[in-house]
Amino acid sequence: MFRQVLRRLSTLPIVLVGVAIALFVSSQVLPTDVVRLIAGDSVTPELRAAIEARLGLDQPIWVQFWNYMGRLLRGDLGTSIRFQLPVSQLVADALPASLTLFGAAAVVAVLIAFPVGVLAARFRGSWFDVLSRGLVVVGISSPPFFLGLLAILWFGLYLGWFPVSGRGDPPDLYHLVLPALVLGFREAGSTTRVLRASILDELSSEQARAARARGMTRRYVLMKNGVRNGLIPAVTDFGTTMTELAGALILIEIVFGWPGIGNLLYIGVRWNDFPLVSGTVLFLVLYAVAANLIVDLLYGVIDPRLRG
Amino acid sequence: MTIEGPVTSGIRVKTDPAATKKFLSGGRRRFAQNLPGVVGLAVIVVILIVAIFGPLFTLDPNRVDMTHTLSSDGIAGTDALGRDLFARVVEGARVALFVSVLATVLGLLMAMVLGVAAGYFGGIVDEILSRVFDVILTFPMILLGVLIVISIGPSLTTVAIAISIAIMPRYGRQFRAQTLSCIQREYVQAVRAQGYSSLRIILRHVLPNVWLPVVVLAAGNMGKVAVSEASLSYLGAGVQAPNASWGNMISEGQAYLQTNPGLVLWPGLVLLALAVSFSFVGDALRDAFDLTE
Repeated sequence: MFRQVLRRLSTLPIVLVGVAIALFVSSQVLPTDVVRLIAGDSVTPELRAAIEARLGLDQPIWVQFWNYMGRLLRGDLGTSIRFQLPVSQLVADALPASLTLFGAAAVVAVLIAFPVGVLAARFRGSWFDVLSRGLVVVGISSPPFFLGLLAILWFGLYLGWFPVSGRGDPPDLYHLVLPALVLGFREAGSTTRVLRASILDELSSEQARAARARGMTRRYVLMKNGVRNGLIPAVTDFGTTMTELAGALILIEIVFGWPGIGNLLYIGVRWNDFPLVSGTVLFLVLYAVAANLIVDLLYGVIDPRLRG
Repeated sequence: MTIEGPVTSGIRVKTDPAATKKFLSGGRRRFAQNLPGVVGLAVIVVILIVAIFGPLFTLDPNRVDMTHTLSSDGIAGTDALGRDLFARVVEGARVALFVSVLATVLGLLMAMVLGVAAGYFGGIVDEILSRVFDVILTFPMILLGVLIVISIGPSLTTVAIAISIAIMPRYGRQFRAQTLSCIQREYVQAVRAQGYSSLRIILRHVLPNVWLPVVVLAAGNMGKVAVSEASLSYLGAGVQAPNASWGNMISEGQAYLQTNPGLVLWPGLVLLALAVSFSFVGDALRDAFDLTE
């Protein structure tokens, strides 16, 4: 366990430095002319020189790289061309919105996955089991952005139950419902499936059959043998989906115009705003690595067999 | 001690064709009994046929006609630039399937080289390659896609390369595990003892025995690849306008969701059908061939 965590920790700086190098190299080879983006097409040579000097673009490449890494270490992700604001500030402003949606979706996913998984295992082969398994496949395999658009079309535009864009001003729960439901439904899929399978596995174990033979009620065996032991793989799986959730989060934010990190990344891609793209990507990478580390640590808490 | 295969010739110890045949025929029989899998496969075949032969019958998907914007001409109407929507959905199917196949093949090739090397040589090679797999798996696929696409510029091939790198570690681990169990077998030990080169042993004795299950697994995962392509294109980091991809068609159509939902629904529903079908086929394949990830 300890060794595993150390291993993870040792890869963290390598990943971040690797991503930083990749981003720096791509900023060099990208055909985008930064000066033209800032000053427009009719830029005079003097103005060009002045802007290049201000951005440090007149320095040799290795000096530029050194400066770039130095800025990153100080938490300076560069200045967005589109907004003319520091990327770190934009990310900090967008973070609460993303975290809110992320947290709400995780709660929805838990509220769907655990009851549905247990019931599907209990009533194996019933219509409920078949229906939930079908929905799980749709949830796992569907493109998140299209699922979001279907929800907008049906619950937002056709039924008019929920607002379909933005966060509200001031932010309210009403705007949160649709994006959180869509994201949560998607993320619940694989955990539901794992929970159902592991409970069924436990119920066919010798202990469970022995308990039934000793006259324990079906419900008692389901809860004690099935659910309690079946939870471990399900919780593990839920942890793993936390990284994937970040990917779907980006798409859902774009669909719903949710003012979070994903939308920032989208604006960056659409406007060729390289500092904005690289800043948000770096931040999201940091998140993904950290989330993996936390999940690994939690395994030790959930499953005592891994402690050692 | 018994040794598998006709060792006397020294070089003819290869794969066991009977085992391969049994693997395939048994799997095929069990797959045929899986209803969702069979239906999914039928849907995929229909989409594939339309993608291949459709363009013979449809209009030019990129032909702009500003006199017929958002009209109901043709099977599915036209988009905001007067382009035939059905023709663009068919074109999108070609793009999605092309990227899925290319990315899967590229990913499998990389995984094969790295995974077999990790399993066969072990030690420090294994340690480094396994770390590389871990690191790549840390990223959500879409983020890795954006990172690679902005690094080398968006195009059809770039998207395929980006996705292939993202899916590579899953199959790399499979190849590694298969190789590890394969090199324990007596026929590999026997050729090793005869002093043949590693390359020859890998090519003639290891690879023929390890590739099939991984390829079956990868075939079932192609729906996820198609969804990734659509996601990247939706984000603007994939196939670029004016070329049609389901992802950027949905992105462009989103502005007309209230008045012309067809612009989003046509590409979206076909994508959903393809993704769900692949998912059913993938599950059926895993069950039929008894594969685990």
